Amino acid sequence: MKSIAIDSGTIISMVTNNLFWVFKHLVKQYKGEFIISKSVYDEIVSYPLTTKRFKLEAVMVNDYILEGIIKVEDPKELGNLSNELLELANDIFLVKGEPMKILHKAEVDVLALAIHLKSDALLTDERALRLLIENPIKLQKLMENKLHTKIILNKGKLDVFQELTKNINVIRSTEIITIAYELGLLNRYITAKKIVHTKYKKLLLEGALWALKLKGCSISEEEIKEIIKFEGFGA
Amino acid sequence: MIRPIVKKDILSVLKNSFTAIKHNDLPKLREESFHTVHNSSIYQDEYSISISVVIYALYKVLEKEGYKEYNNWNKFKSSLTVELKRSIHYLIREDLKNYSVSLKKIISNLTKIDKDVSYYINDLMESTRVKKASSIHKHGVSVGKAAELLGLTKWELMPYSGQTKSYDDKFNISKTVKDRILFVRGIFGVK
Repeated sequence: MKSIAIDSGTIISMVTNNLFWVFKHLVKQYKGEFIISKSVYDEIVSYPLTTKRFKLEAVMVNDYILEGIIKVEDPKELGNLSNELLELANDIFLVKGEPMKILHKAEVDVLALAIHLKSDALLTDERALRLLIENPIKLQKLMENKLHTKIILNKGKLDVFQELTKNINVIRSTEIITIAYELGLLNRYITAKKIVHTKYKKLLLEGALWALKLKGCSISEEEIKEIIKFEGFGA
Repeated sequence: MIRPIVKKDILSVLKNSFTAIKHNDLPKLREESFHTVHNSSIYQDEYSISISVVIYALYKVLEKEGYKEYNNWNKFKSSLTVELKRSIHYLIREDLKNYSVSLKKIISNLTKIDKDVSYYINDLMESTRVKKASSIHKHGVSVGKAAELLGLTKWELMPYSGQTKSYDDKFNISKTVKDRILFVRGIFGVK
């Protein structure tokens, strides 16, 4: 069965914007499975259910899991791959002679799951994880720029990490919402008196993309403008 | 164990903060709270992280003019001077247990200024941790890792980081928008 592995950050961006419902429609369109790891489940359901602040969001996500729209996978054989990836990722960048730990175990668990399941995509809003997979040199430059320090790349570790992740395609919540927009799923927000008010379509897409960015999706303002243009709207 | 570079930087922050407080130089105090952010991101040690949280929280309390009207304010200021001196003393001797106790006393003494201040301190400590975690994230560490270092969750950190300019950096873009959308259209069967 084909699948898309989803990180906790994407679920947080979507659910805190009340956009999580699009998964219900997208899972039918995709004709595959949306999968999360056990550690992502703990981050987005188990833990927040014990709090007051994010309990409602956790209940909403849990309902999608009970419905089978999102599936939790915890294969036993994942542990070794996940530990290997975590060790590699956190040993790639050396600052002042010491490896800088950049990723969290839960972020790497979902990456391991995507590799294990040969998923079509890894859906993550996390910048460090995305850059490490797609363009580690940019992450190195970003860190050098912010820390004002030379960052040494451990080429050996990076090569092994890249070999393990070579088939991983990263997508973000903003791409997911763009597809939802293209499919007309977001039109429900511009259908007063049962008429689709097309003059609001640009505002609708722009609003959805900005909402996701402001809740933590790692997309730049420039990229949002490019998506708007790509969808046929002027600047 | 504390790294020599971390010890040196924290001592500098403590001494400069002590002088800034003595001269009521709040911009300098604020600046000092950011000095250990690089070490916090690189070494991710509890000492670099806790000092930045304590100094920033102090700055936020000291900038509130109204708090000086409370009866216990002068008592708090005296205890602050004592604890800052103690923390410097303990850190020089690498007595990390007592050093940490001194920092904790600074925060607990803040809550004794007045009941109103005490309510504010709880919110202040949380927002300070979010701010510091976001700074660490800005330096390249993931949201999950930065949140973990400050005892937060992604739920708390992501909306804050999303409202900063972190992702507008030129190094943030790793693929073209066109490539990404065409790929997603492909997997969802959208023409």
